[in-house]
Amino acid sequence: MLRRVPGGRFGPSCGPDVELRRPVKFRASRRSRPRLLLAAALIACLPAGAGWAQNWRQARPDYRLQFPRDHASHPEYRIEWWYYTGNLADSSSRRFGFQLTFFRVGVRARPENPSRWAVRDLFMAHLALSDLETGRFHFAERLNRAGPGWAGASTKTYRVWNESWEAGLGSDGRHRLRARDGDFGIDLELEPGRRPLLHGQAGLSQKGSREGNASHYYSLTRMPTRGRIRIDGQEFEVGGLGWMDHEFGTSFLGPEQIGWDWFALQLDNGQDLMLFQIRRSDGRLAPYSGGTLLEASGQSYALGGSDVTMEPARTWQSPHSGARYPIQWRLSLPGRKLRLTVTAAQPDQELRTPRSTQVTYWEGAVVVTGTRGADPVAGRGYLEMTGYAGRSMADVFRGGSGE
Amino acid sequence: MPVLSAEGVGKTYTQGEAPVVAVREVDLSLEKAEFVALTGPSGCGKSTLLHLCGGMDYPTRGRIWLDGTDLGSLEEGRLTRVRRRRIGFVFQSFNLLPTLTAVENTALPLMLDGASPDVARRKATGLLERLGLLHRLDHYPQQLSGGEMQRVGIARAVCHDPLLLLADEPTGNLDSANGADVLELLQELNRSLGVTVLLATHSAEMAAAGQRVLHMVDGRIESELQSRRPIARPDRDDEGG
Amino acid sequence: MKGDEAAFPRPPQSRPFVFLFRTFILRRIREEKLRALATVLGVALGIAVVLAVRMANQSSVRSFETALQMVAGKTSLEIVGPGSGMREERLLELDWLGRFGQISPVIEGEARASFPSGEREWLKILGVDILRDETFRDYRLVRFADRQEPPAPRKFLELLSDPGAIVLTQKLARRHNLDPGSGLVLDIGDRREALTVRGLLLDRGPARALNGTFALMDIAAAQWLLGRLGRIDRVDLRLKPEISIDRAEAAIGARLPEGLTVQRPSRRGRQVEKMLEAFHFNLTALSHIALLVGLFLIYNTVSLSVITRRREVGILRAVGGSRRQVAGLFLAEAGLLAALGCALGVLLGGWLARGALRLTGSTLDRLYIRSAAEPVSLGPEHLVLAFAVGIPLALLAALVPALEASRVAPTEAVSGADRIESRFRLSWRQRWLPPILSTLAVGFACLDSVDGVPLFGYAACLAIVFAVAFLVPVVLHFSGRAGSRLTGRWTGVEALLANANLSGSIPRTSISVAALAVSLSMVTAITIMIGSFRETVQYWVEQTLRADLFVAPATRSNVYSESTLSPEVVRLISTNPRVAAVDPFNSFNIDYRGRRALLGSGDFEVHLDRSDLLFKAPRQGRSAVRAAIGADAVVVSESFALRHGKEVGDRLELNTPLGRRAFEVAAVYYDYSSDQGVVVLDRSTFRKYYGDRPPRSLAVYLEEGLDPERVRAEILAALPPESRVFVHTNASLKTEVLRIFDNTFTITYALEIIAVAVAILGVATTLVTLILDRKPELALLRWAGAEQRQIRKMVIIEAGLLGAVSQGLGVMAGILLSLILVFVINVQSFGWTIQFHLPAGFLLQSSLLILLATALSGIYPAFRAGRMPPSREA
Repeated sequence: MLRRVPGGRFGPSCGPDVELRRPVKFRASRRSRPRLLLAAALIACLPAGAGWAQNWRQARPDYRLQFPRDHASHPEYRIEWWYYTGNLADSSSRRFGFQLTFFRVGVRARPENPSRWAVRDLFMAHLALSDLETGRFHFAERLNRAGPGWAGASTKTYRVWNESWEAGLGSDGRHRLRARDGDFGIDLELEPGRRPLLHGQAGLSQKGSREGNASHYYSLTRMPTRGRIRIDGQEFEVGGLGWMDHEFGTSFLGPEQIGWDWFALQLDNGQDLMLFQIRRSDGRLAPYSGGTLLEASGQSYALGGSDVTMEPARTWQSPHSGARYPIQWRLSLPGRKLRLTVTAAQPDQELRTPRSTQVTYWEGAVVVTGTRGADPVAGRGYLEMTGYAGRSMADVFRGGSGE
Repeated sequence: MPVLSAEGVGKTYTQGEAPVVAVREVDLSLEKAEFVALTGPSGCGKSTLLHLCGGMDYPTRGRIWLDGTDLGSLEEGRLTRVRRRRIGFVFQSFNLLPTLTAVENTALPLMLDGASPDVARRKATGLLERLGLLHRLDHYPQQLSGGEMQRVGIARAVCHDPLLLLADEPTGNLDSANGADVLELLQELNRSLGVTVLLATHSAEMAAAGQRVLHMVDGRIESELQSRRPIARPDRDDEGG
Repeated sequence: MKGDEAAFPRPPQSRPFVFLFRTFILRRIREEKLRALATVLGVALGIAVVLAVRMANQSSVRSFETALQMVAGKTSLEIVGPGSGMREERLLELDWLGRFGQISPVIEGEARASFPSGEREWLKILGVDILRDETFRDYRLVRFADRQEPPAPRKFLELLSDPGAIVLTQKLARRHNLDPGSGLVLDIGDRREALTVRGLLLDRGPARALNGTFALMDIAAAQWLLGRLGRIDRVDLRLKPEISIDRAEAAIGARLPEGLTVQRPSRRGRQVEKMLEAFHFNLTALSHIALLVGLFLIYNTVSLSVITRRREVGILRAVGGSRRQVAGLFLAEAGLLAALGCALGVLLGGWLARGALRLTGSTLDRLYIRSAAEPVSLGPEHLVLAFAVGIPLALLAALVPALEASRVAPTEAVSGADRIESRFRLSWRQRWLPPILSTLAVGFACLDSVDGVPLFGYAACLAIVFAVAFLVPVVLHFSGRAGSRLTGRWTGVEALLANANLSGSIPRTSISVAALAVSLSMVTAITIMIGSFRETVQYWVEQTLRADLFVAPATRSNVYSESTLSPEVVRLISTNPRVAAVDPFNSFNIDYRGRRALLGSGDFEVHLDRSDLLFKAPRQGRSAVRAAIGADAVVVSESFALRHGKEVGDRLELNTPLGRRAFEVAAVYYDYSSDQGVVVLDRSTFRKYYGDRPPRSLAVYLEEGLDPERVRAEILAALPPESRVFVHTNASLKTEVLRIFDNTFTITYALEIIAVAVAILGVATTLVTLILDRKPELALLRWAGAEQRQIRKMVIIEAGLLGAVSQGLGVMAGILLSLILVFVINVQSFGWTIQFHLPAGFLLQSSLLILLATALSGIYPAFRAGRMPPSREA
């Protein structure tokens, strides 16, 4: 999934495709959040009226997230996304990875054109399936305006859809995902699992020094998942663990990044770990890196740039785009005594969107091995890497906003 | 075998209500290289008989053989080809085609028969040279004098080496000097080419040139005269044929 | 027998033929350049007119169809509503179409753009959801031209999402010096709107359509701009490649909800083609008159050639030329002249096509559909048409005289036999063909049209034309006799001689007279038809246009125009205290059995109170209409009734948004506004099935005693300044209707004049030939003491006499033809009744004019004749 890269098929030169996900708690308030970047890029594509910001609500510290209410859409904010990733296996232990993401990006809070086709929001979605046994990777995307109801996100109950793809909350409290493109697709039910992990300060994650330059952000990090997936017309009954992110806000960040690397890992000792780093054109990483660690106990720790080291190990060159991606990483969190090796479950999990955004990125299932102190740990998760192919994300960003 | 023989030939025209009998019961035989004159008053049927002998018209009665071929039995197309190949016709009013030059007019029968333009032209040129018209080859009829035109007409009539040369009052439109030249020319061709000549004239002097003289009255050949009289200068004659 | 094929084999044909053609034909043509030129010119004009009309017709249909194709792009099928689109919610009923392929909803509209230069052009506006549409059509923006790839949809959306944004073609922008960022003023319906050019399309895909007058907008902006909020015009469907169109069309058709239909985009093209079919067919038929006259000219020329060269032909035959050779020569002469004529005609046609297109284009705009027709350029097809039609027809025309030449006997070479032209006697042809042909004409006139095309009507016309042609010698014969009695007494010796000359040369002159008579008859017929039509329309307008004022959007160009009045304008006018009643007329185009028709609604109540329709049926039309109020009943126009065979009491099925519904025909009324047919519902019925739609025009009735001009001025002053509305008073609308009417027939007159010109050319050539042929006689006259002046006068009188006979016959035949035109062809082509009306004044004038023109055509031959010296020998 592309968490951070929403620009996938959508905006060509526009932006962002960048989005990184952001760690929970940042001490440094100017940190940017990856995913928001992505959204920011989306916005850059659109004709932004001067003073558009006044039409959208800013994230506020006094806002208290409540569930299930806040799973639903918040159209008063400019940017919002829901996104699911996960590692699955069928009864014969054939393994799969999936990604399903819905984006809503506000264009005009109050369009003057009374037409139902007037673009208030753009709705996008990405679907990807990694068939780890065959090494094949399937992906598709959707882009729509609401129009007569082709895409949307409801505000009363949690339901977001784009054409026939949809995600929502059933009356039993489970998340229901359905998406299909041609002969591959998913039909999954995800239990909420652990209680929502609120990032930042009670879910408010600050991105700039100015008031309101922030977003509301939470994750469901360990969701027991069951259902069916379909590949090449063949159906598999599968089960596994999923991960959901939901973020909404209005302001966005500055544009110097060339790309980022982002990890969402579920370890077998009950730890869930999100880490990211933003690579800048001058080669400095700090202070744009960090993450969040959720202990099995439910205790969460924000990680700063100095708490983590990330080293690329093996690389893989995409035969499609020619880009070279680090598909193996060595992570070290000395403060937590964690040393992990994260390896792509299969090399080719590259999404290419040459027709629309002309952005190409890698997002896929990973396998984790390592140690916590002296104990071995293992796990699975998802990794997203942007800015390795073609233009740097910053170029993309500038191209999009430089009108 | 005679070049031409006719047996009981008659021709009746239907004009208006009353049929007009132009030729009745004519028997005739012309031998190779004979020079025969056909005389008679205007309207006696000379021209019609000539047309029948020349395959320009079908007889309504009797038969005509040209070199053994029954002309009356030929369909139009073949008759035309007979005309084109075996018969030469010299007209009183020359009848040159105004849009053709002297040499083209001369070569016309050959050309009509599909001869190659070179061959036809060479032959016509030779003939016209012989007739003293070399300087007139590419002149159009309206640029020629009457005598010259008739010489071209004669050249055209013999250009394709016909068996039979028919001349219908050939001097009728010429002054006496030119007329005498033309008659002389016909005799000369008769001798040198061995072509059979049937010459229609109403003038006794002209007729005297014939080895035989047939006299027609009212569509019939009334009498035949063997004659070896010297050629006399014909009178000027402005009667049509 | 010896004379068999072996003895006289047929020689090769080509050599003698080439020789003879060169010497016998070409040299003669060189001598007679003028006559050859006249013939070539005649054929050329005929061919040119046919080509020009064909090209103009093709241009209008093709430009529509190519525009359709270019705009359709990869659309394989389209879903359309019951007329004027569908409500946009219906898209949600179409989710299942995703199984067949992608869908893209479309808004299509027209607007007139005003450019800074003051120029105006109509734009076709396509409103799409670019996010979906980008795979349907090939859009390349100039800004992204470096990539030669379609811009990403989101990028595109950025250009379009502003409601005032429009994307034009680079071609149009160049024409008017526009750049991205320039303002653009559009007249849409009754409003004027300002937009901003946000991008330019490279010349490909839909941008190639309509000479660049194509504009792209976002679907939302287009809805708003065109006043179609809540509606879309159609849904384009792009099938997955593995699905066959036929199967998909059937499957989708079976599953579509009520009121929607699936069709191929080409259906709209065929519909337009059908709509224009009668118009085009009639133009084509008309254009063939000139060709026919040109062919007469060929016949004329070859005949004259044969007649004047009989003796030469005899010589040729005497020295052994075959019949085949002789016939071949004259055919070749015809072929050569025709080939030259065709070649010249092609050039001329290409040039005339522009004029024809301008004339037909404005008619099409007024009567049918706005066409941005680009002239079709001269192509191989037209060359083939010209030569493949022109030459064989010319050979056919020359066949009769050529065969006649081949029958010349060799004996005709003999001096004196060439002048056998005997006294004129009636042949069986002249005796029997005219009555037989006339009977045929009557028979044909009674037959029905063939699929809306009055083929038999034209066959009847043709029969009359040929009857006239065969009648000409007879008429010449008798008029010559009558003339000889008159001329001697009334006029000088020249007239006497002229008359005698003509009587003596009937076979030679009758051909030219026939050609002239035929073309004059057609002119007469068409003039009578148009005159009758005009009278009828005038009467109809007087009777039915009763409202004091008529209000319509300024962009409304014809009855099929989809421009509407905005609610604000309607409200302002309806609430004006001086207005007593308003009858809003609402209409849109529907597809009724594959043919376009107009579905309209009016307020029957107001109409009955204040206006007067002329009913064809039933007798009590008014009460029938009153009974139709509130019922599922319609009133149809005469043309609709005729086209679709409907009578009062019949039921007709209409596709409504609620599904197919049957309506009873309550009455049939006379209407001359649309030849495609109009179906009118009362407002209440209309609203029940089709919902509320903005009106296309208003008929406004004022309180008693008000001056409509003043109220008109008041109304205009009260409208918002951006309004673009035409308000006609009753009088000005009537004038306008007749003005349009007259414009419509301009091309008809133009075609006729050409045909007459060709025919007069024929008369002139005939005269020249006659003069040449009569050299000896003329010389004799001079010798007998005639002055040059007298000879000239005689020839001019001859020419005038020919003209008089032609016109006399032409008028008679023309009246017959006009009866067929009015009562058969018009009814079958356009479906309306025309009251017959004889424009006596015009006929008189035109007769004098023709007399004058033919007499003038005698001037050249007259001078030639006058110059001939008295001959030494007669």
